[in-house]
Amino acid sequence: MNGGRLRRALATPTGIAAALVIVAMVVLAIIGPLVWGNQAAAINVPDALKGPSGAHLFGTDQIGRDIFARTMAATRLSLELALLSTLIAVGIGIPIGITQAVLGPRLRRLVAGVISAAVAFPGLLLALFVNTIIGIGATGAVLGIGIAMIPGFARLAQTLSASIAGLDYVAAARILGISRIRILFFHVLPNIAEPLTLTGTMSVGWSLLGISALSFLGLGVRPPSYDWGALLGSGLQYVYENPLASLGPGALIVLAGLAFNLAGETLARVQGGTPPIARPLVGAAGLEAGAIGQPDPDLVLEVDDLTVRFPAAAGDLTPVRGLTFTVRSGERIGIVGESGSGKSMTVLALSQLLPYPGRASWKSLRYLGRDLRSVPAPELRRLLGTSMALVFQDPASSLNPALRVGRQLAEVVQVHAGLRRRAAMELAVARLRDVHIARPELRAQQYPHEFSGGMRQRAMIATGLMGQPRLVIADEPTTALDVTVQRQILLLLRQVNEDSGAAVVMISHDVSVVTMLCQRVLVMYAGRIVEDIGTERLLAGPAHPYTRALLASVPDMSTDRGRPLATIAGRPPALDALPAGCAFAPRCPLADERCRAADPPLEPLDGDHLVACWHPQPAGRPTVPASA
Amino acid sequence: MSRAEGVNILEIRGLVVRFGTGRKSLVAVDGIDLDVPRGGILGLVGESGSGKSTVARAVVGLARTAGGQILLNGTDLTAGAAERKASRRTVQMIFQDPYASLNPRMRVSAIIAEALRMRGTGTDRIPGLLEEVGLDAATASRYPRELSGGQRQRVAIARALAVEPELIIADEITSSLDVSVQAQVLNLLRDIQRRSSLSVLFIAHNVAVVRYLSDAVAVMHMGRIVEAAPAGDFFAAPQHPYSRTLLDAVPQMADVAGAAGASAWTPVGEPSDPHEPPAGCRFHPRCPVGPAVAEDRDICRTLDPGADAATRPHRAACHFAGMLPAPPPAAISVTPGQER
Repeated sequence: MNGGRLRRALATPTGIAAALVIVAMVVLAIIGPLVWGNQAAAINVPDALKGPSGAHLFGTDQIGRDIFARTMAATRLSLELALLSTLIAVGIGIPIGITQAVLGPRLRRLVAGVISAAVAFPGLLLALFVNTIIGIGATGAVLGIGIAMIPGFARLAQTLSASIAGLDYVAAARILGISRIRILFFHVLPNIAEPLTLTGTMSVGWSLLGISALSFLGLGVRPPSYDWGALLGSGLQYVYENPLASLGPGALIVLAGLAFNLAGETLARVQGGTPPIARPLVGAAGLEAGAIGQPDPDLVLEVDDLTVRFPAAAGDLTPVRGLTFTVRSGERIGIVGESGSGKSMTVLALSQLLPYPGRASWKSLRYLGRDLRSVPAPELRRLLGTSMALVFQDPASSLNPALRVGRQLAEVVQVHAGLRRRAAMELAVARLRDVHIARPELRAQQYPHEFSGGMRQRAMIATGLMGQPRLVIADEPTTALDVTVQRQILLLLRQVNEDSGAAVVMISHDVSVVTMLCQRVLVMYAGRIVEDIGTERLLAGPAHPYTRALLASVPDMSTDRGRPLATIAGRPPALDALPAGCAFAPRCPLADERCRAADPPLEPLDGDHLVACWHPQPAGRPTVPASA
Repeated sequence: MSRAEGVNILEIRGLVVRFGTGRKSLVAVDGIDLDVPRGGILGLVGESGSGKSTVARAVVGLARTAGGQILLNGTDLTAGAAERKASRRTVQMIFQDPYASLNPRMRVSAIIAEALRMRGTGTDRIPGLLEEVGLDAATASRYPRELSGGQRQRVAIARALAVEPELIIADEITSSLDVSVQAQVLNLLRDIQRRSSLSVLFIAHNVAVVRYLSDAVAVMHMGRIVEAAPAGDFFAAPQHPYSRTLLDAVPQMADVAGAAGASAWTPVGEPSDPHEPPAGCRFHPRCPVGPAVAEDRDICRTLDPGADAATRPHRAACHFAGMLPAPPPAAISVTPGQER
């Protein structure tokens, strides 16, 4: 467990409260019987059934014993019993559960079946049942509550370890021939220890309540022993004369139960990590928004100085830094970059889907000639909903699995265009036919899981066609699909572009896929566009060293098998440690002092070919230094 | 340890792997034969669901076989636990997702030390192994979360090399990496293989990557091998229509910008249901030269071409193997970065 995170979690009000109360309880458990033990046992019949006073804070019981002293002295036994029963549950339940990770298939199914049956049995009934068999008393109560909690722990450990057992590092250990015991202790247990610890902590609270309840009912701790539950029970007999006799022990039960639950909560927070605290962003560009002249009707998207920021403790992270580009009507543009280049964040910012706490700022962001900042929210939703189509990487997760495909398509126009259900459905079928889905009437009635991956992606594209798309944004639309389906999807996007005149922006990590569809390519590196280049020129040899290296590193069907592949030395800079000059300079064979000192702006090289490099390379077969 | 030194380190004969029972059951691998040449790289190509990863998992004992033999250096691994146990030092596997294949609670040194211990070797080899896979010695004290995807994959390779295996199974090891990192890992695997004459079963869906690395190629489709040949022969003249569709699907820098058109070698219709594979040739409903388009090829619907595949060139499971038009010679490279 991360020490820093634990400290931070303990510094929260919940953490402090839980820690203080638990420490107090432990101290009380240790010193309670020593300090108050004699007083608690002292019988003083003349003082019997007195109300609270200076001498007896909670009053006295039937034979004149001090109830406050008895409550304090009972702390040790109450906590001991709660801990014991938790230990029973943890000690038996978890070993049963984690065997799931290493047992053979038959035994595994058997154990899983037994656990399922046990979980289905009501816990309280099980506790009473065990309690009755073992015999009324502390032992019976501890065993009863402990055994009743075993199935829960077994199920939890089973689920957690089954998820770990399916991971490749456990497979790798098995291939190495590592023993089952070692796999259990080194690969499975450490990775599920945190949730188990926190559940264990919380269940101390539950078993305290459970045992107190049994004692209260007279099924648990019996005289002459006593715990809080027993004190509560005996105090209740004369609650009208002396309410504190029952409220006192009751309050301690509640306090201790709460403390253990809060401790569990705190541990859970440490485990899950706390979301970064958002700070208001100041100094965002955009004061001159709307000051740009007449909008060009041909422009679908006009992005000027788009920046995406994520507030972080050590300073804002900016995955997208000052992006400027335009998309014209009917254009097909590709955005290419490796992971961390900011290409997906750009798409999310444009479609107003940035995850919290990310914030986008810009000098100007116009969509269909309208400044996005000036459009009221409901109208913005309608505008984007009807004219912008989004196609994501994983079609399986972007369609609702519980809705028929036709209904999902129809929903778009029912909501945004107010079409009747029937007319909307007819349109949906027509659109499915447009994306080459055979027997669209039948397919519209099916659920997404009845579609193949390629068909789901085509259905997603059909969803985008339900309105009047002006812009289709496709984020890695073929990455999750089989290679033989890839071309089909690219052709379909092209067909949509030509038939409807909608502009297409395709995001991909693969340059060659992008050149199959797009006329212009924006190459991103470390949050910036480093090259804005027509595909013809790209094929002839780009100007930016990064683009060149990227092209060279992808093997294709004519790569020389006798030579090592060209590679790019090093790795992209971390977002929180961007170099002062050009972000690619540390990996660039052409970098000099100027590159390390100043970040080159994105400037025209010739015509509409833009490049951000102090040493742009001429077209023609480039010489990329292979650093292998 | 020296055993019968056959031409092939791994020979798979009639391997069957079945998942589930009853109506939901699925024959993921349906009686395949496969040879991995000693000291060479066999590229196994196929799409998702073809069963190629299941073959890998069966070889290393992660998937239970329902029939057939897996002969490693002549010993059948399906024979019993002793044979399987003895194979642990001979075969190792590298997985697709470097984020899932390393225990997040163990430092790199512990991850590699665990493998070394299985070999009975001391931990003093850790720096050497890290150097071999191109990592700093300082990486040893790192946790996986501190490493990039490419670095993690290198650690996974070092772990596999630690037991000094004779055969490495690489299952889509670059498909979750960035392209520039992919090139680094491919170069590394190629260097290691050449240096230590390892044998490699290289599984991938990317034909261009397979072409770059492999000495021999096998194509898998719906649980069956439909074509197997030395790499040069395979790429010069693929015999199975499914192989052609795979080759044709490789993204190429378009000759004319953004103008990649439809191809004659795109599969017809939608993928078949693997739970109810088509009769005859399993590719026939989708075959661009099969009965779906050519009336006279009815034989494909009824007769399984796999039965006499051994008699055809490239062991192609196609009744019309040898009748495919040869692919055009690879276009002059439009990929920059290659001096000739």
